[in-house]
Amino acid sequence: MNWGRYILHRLVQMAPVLFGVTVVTFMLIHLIPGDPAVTMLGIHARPEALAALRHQLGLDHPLWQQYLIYLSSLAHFDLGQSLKFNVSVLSLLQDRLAVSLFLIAYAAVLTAMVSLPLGILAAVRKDGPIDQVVRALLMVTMVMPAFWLGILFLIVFSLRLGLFPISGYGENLRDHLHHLFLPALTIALGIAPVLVRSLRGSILEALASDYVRTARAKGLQERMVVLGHVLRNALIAPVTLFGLSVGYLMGGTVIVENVFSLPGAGQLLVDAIGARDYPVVQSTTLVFAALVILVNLLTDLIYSFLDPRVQLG
Amino acid sequence: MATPLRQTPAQTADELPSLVRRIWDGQIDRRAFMRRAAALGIAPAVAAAVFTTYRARPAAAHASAQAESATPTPGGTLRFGRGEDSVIFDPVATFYNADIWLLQNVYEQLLRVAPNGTELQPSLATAWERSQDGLTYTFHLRPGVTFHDGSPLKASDVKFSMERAKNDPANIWTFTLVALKEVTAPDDATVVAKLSQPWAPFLADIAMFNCSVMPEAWAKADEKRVATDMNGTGPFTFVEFKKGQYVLLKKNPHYWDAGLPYLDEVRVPYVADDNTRILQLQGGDLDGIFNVPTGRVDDLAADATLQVLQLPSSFSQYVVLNHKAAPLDDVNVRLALNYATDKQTLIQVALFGKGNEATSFMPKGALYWNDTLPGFPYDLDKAKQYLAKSKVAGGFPIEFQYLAGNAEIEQVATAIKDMWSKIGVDVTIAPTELTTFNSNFTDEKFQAYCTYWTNDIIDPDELVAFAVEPKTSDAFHTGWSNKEAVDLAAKGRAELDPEKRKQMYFRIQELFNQDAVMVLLYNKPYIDVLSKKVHGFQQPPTGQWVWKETWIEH
Repeated sequence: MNWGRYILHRLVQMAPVLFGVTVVTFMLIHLIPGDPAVTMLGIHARPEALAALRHQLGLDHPLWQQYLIYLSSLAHFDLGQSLKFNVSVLSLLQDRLAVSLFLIAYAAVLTAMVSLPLGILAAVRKDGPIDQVVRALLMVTMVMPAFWLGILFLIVFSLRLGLFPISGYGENLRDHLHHLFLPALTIALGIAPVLVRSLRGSILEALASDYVRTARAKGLQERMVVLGHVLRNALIAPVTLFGLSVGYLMGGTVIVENVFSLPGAGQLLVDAIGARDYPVVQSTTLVFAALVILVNLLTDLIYSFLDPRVQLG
Repeated sequence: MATPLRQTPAQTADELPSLVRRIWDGQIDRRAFMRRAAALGIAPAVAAAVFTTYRARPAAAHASAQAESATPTPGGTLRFGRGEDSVIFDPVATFYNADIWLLQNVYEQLLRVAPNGTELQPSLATAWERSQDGLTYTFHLRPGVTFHDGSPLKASDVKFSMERAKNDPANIWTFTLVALKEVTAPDDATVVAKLSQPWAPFLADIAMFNCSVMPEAWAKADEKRVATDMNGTGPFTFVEFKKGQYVLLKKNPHYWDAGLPYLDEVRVPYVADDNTRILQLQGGDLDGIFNVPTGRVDDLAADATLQVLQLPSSFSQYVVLNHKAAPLDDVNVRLALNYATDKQTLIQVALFGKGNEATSFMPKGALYWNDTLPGFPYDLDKAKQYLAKSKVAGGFPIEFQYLAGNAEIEQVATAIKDMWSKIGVDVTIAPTELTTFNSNFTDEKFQAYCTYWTNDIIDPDELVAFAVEPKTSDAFHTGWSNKEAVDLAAKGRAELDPEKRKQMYFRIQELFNQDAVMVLLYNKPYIDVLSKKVHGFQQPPTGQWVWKETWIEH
């Protein structure tokens, strides 16, 4: 199967998954107690006003009918209207998704930049002091909750040392990279430990294999052995883990956006759940789900690049 | 770290804070600090950053101390952070404090609340008369006022805005204007309001945000725009609202109060996280924040660049009791719970001492607040005696609902669980997420429910109506029904003699306490923390942020 056909095939497979996501999200958000009308009119609102608003928002229809209405608007690529802000969900999502995607991509790059050298170093210097320190330190960053680590970074690097801005998102690419460094690092340090351990393990395994002995026997420098032969083989497992972590990355942005006060989609989602802004919750979750699926597709493509033995299809 | 360590890390840790303090106090210059830092084994880049961070502070603090008595300097941008985002700017439709407190800098009413929160002052009306029978009010409009779109303020605009506030179906505040029968505009500068019955709170009611005056032609041209745009006569014009980011206001150069406002711009960023908001203030990215957790007040007050304002508010915290849920139908049980609640301890534990014990359902210091009531001072013996008179003398289980995620109320709930256990009441604490929490209140799905109230008008009528009327609000959703109190509430709003009104409202508060309708907890101030460079900020007990006379040293 060639790449074009494979990608198309996978994209078609997305449809039922996304359909499942719409069902689950719709049911979950409608099943939790709480009434958007009360959120919009306040606890001192009169019952008639609440009933009128529910009618106006279409919340007095049976649940299955509301779901069908939602589905049919999705089929027309309409993500709906926010109940709280009374504007289209698309307009709310547009700017915010850009912030979140930038943050996720940045975090992914930092994760790689942290994990690759540390993983290699820890494996090559197995059981040495570097290995011990790397593993212990990462264990600490892994168990620190993001909201706490984020605040700590803000206090130390922004407030005390003044190295990074405390708030904002920046105007241009350089600004973005500067402003989003701490948030991205906070997310990265949550995932990196898992990847470092996995990378270390697979490098150690690869180092013990025959082709490494051959490579060493033909007089290759150790550096070339590791970077040229071992790494490519050892990357398969961490790449898989990384692909799976993208869901976690997105979850991470929700908290990190809150702590660093970034106008991202994660914060929008949290606020929308609080307000029972059904259309915003449904559509944001759907977009996040689609992104996770796309990244997994990307992961599969990277496999076949790393290891030609992996067959697509 | 390249520099050789000449001291142990413990010594470094000991000496660094004192060094930092010396930078702060201006006792050490850069070169001397760098030398000491190097001796402590601190990398030059880090030392330089530390020096820069701390050096800026005393300079700023010094400047603010000097300028305390200085005359206002116009210009500059105030950045005022808040934890709630704006939602909708239509003054008749919103009930969010985040909107209400902001929009009154753009919109104005005929009258405005004075900073002390118990008086009214002229705003768009310079003078007014009441007819002998109390049924007709004539307002004389301030001449030369223009809206932000340049159109002149006319009596017809006031008539339109007040009728909209009274009749708009989206408006939940129509109850404040039920006595308003008709508004007429005999000429461009005069507005006449006719009432169906004498209505004492009328002037207070029309000073409320829902009676904000907007141009008729502008609002009628596109009715939807009122929710997302603002066009008033106030000191600031609305520039933009970036959802999830900020609201931006700009100086109204044609404001009728010559010379005001001082500020060029007010930027109101949305920063959801409490800690982040405080960090942004400390780091100088914000000039002010409001509603600061009481636990952080002392810490922030110690910062030389910041000022902590504790302003009188109308905030009252209660435990609403559902009288339909036995045994809470028994007044003895309700009295027992009131006496078993140690308010002083709650204030210490949850508010770090920043509050006072509530003795009435009306906030302390409000108009007609009954200062003669003793309230329910903590008395465990009395509590036990009352409980012994009830059917549940040995105690009973009760669920205590409160809003999840609020550290202050969490403390209250935990402390109350302990306090009530001393009379045998077994409390299950139930933290509840906001939307469910709100729905449970209106649906009366609770036994004990911890909530609060803030006044929107200076007259007690709004709160009293909510607290005693069985029909509209089920008496604060308690289910309490007291004919004398209901009659007095109706008489109180029709009585124009302030002294007689005072007696009526005093009596209502007395009746409320006699029946121990709710467990009264505490009143707490608005706590705003501002940079010391900010002057002239006001927040009256009704809550709105007044930036009209605010200025920044620069």
